[in-house]
Amino acid sequence: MSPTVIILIAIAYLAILFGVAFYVERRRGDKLLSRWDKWLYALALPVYCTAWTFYGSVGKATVDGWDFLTIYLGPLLAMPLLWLVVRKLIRICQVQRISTLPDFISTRFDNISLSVLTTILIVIGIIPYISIQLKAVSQSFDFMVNTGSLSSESLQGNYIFTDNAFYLSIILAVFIIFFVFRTLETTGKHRGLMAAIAFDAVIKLVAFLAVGVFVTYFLFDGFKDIFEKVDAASLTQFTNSESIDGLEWFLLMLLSMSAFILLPRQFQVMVTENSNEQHLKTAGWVFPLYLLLINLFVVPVALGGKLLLSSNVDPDAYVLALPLLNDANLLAIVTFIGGFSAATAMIIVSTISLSLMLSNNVFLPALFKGGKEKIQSSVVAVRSRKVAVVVIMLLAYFYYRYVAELFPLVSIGLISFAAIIQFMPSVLGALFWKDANKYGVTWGLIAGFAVWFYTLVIPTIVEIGLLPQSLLAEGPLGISWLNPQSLFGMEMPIVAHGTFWSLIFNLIGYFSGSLFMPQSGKERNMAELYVDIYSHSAFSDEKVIWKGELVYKDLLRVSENLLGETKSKEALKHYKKQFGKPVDEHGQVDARFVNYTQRLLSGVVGSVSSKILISSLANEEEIELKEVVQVLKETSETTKLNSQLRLQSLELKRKSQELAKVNERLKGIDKEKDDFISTVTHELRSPLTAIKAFVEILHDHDTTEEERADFLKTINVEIDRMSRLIDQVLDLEKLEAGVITIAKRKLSPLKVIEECVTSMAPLMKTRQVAFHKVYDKSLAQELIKGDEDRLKQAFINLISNAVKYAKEEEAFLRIQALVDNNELEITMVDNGRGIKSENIDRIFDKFFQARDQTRKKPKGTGLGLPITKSIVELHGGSIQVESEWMKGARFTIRLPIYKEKDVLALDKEGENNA
Amino acid sequence: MHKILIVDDEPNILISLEFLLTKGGFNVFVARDGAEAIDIINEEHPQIVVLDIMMPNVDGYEVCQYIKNDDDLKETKVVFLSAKTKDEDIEKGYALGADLYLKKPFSTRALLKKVQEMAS
Repeated sequence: MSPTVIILIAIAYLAILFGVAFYVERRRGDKLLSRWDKWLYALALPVYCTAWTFYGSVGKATVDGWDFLTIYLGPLLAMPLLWLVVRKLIRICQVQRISTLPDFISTRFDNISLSVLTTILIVIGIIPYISIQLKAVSQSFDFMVNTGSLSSESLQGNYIFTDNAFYLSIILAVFIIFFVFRTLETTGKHRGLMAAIAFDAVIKLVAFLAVGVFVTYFLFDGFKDIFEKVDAASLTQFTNSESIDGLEWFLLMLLSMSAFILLPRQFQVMVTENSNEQHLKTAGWVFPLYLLLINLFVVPVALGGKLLLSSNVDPDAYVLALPLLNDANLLAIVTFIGGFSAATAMIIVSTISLSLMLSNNVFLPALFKGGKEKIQSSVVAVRSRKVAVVVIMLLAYFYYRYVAELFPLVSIGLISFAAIIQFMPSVLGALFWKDANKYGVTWGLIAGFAVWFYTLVIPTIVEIGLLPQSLLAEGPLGISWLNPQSLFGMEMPIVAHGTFWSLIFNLIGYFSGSLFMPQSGKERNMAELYVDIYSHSAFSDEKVIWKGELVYKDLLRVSENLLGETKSKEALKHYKKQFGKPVDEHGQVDARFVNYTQRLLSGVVGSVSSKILISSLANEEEIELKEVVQVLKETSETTKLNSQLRLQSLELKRKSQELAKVNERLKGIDKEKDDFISTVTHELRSPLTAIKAFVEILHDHDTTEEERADFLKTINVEIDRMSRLIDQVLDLEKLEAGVITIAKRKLSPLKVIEECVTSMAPLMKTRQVAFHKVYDKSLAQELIKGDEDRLKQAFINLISNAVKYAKEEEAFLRIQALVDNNELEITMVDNGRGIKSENIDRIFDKFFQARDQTRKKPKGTGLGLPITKSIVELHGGSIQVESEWMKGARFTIRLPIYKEKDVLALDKEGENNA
Repeated sequence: MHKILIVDDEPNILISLEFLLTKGGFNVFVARDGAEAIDIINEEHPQIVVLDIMMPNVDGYEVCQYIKNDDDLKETKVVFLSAKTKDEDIEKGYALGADLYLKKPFSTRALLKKVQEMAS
């Protein structure tokens, strides 16, 4: 095919791709479009599948059989981790305005040099990976031009200016610089970019499926046909399950699982570009489905290539060679575009991510450190980012041009994966382990990368002849256990071997650093925020501890320089709205405002640069670990308070309602008191009236001797009644007010009851009331604690009531005393008049006297039962009544029994005191 | 002889008033509550009824109301003798048509004088 046609096709495809991006970006505010966000997100994740996948899977399947699957099984197994790990990553990055992995790590471990280290390591690990995409594109281009000519090396452009890959690099760099980095904010969501990536994903899937269908159903008669022919040709790598090594598979899956989450391009689309955590749910099923589809035809194509193509065709080229050599030119073009789209998507996103890292963590901190204001501006920030894009592209191109040519596609991809897995311990520690610290992370990364370089990079260098072959054959200086390909004598395929040892050394460094070295206060602070992010999200500015002096105007100047005046004012407004507190524009700012501003700046220049900016302005103080613990405790208490506020206001409402009720009751008590006083005076007036009348009669009128004696006797009775009433009123008042103290002596209840009965016996005899007693045998041994006189008063009240209201004939009173566990139960049963059911609830009320239908004047003061009740209750007991009108009443008194062991305890206490 | 009815639930007050008013030249009837009083009023048509207020079942106010609503008892005078000493209680008594309201404890001399005046 003519190279011009292919170049035009490639350019046309890029034009369409950028067109999609521009179109979507322009309709930014379109609500209808935002509904597609979750699909864009889900379809952006297959940026994981690169040109390496597109061409290399078939290649690897052809050579190693099922091993190619490990690269996809890892991400599939990572799906359940989406919600656990990725959601947490998303939340932290959103809250802290983090856009790259080095930002994430250095913010957590509060170390600027760590950010430089991670950036450099990632760039080293990923540049080769970008370069193999360029290689894939240029190889496929050559392959198309030469229509299946088999040697790719001979057709490589001899000069840079005749090399297609060079122009591709330039076009993609321009796209990133003018489209993606057009806006300042790096954490802002680039929907246009996501749309382009998703578009790429669809194109590469369709292209690969097209090749698969072509091979399976046009060149062969379906899956069955291929496998039968393979059996006939005895190509056994897919039928021999012994080729699957457990540990190797485990390591490769672990590798691809961590790559799926931590590769810069994955982190960029999955974490930084995520606009809604819920989108993970869609991605959770769309992405696995995508992987299933794109892998569906890998094996048939590999087998088809093996069966149909000559053995000197590079298996990596089968995808393209099968349609080309079968004269299916249109399909070949579609396939070429598929591979091209896979490469461009990977290059674009990886370059964005790497250039952000490079700019934010290396370039800008170096520029900002001087504290010169002219440099601390948005122009510099954007320019540095653009320079970083060019640097990354150039690095990738020159690596491709002078190094990658020498290596096969697949091994470079896996070596990149092995580099990325070195960050897994740091990231998991940042997310879940508060004690992980910067020493652990640094030591782990250095150790891990050192071993990675030794076991994975050195052998490839040997392979291209830059180091002597003896290194691999005999080990360095002939020490066989240091052989880079079989460290400590371990025999395993190179990638699994390198992964295994680099991870082991990484973990040793990581744990020893974290466990044996101290954590700084600031680090602890961030650890709390990271690990407990879900409870801190809304309050993070209050929880990042910062101590120092910083003048508002200085801070404002920097934020205006970097954010622009409008944005900076908007942010200030938002701050006031969020915290309801204005900023003192002439004085110093508090930690909360500093954190808020720093987060804003992080969104533009990264967290490291923003930290450097702030510290260049302020007089910062070191934070002690214990301060962090204290402040976090306080702020978590504040948070708790905040969340309880609503509950409390509800509580307050309830309380005020209660208060109103209490008020009502108090009013009721007032009225009760009034009623009581007027009842008392009324009750006093009656005897007084009688007395006065008789006295006046005796004075004014002639009376017989007999009358005089009678009247005087009546006067006496009424005076007694008055004084009794007065006594009882005072008594009851004292009892109710709790003013009188009851002497609590050990008493024999039997003795108290017996004495009451004895004193009432004459009266009972006069009124012909028969008396029965039923006492527990054990009663004689039991004790109660109390006031003998008061208890007698209570019992006598009840006995005299029974006598007072006794029937005229066959009246009886029965007293039962039972001991039940800790209680003494005294029951007085009579067969007297009883109480009407409507009155039974009020019988213990003061002055409630059941006035009956008969015209007899009640005989008491109306205070006896209330007094009895008060006395019983003062002794910790209770009194109840059951009665039926004209059939008698049953009063039950329960009193606590005094235990001997209590007496012993008391005695002991006494001894101790003595 | 003028008929007078004394109504009170306090037996000793009844005894003293019965003695006093008999000495004062009245034909004295006694009742211990409102219901009994109404029976006697209907039977005897006393010229004067001396009424306690706080009594079981039918109270003094009700008895007074009964008397004042009965055309046959237009000549009957009502004297309240009560331990209810608040102004509102007294006002209520007069509003119901009572001719006199005496607070307990009262002066027997004043009572005797007043009822004698009423009777003549």
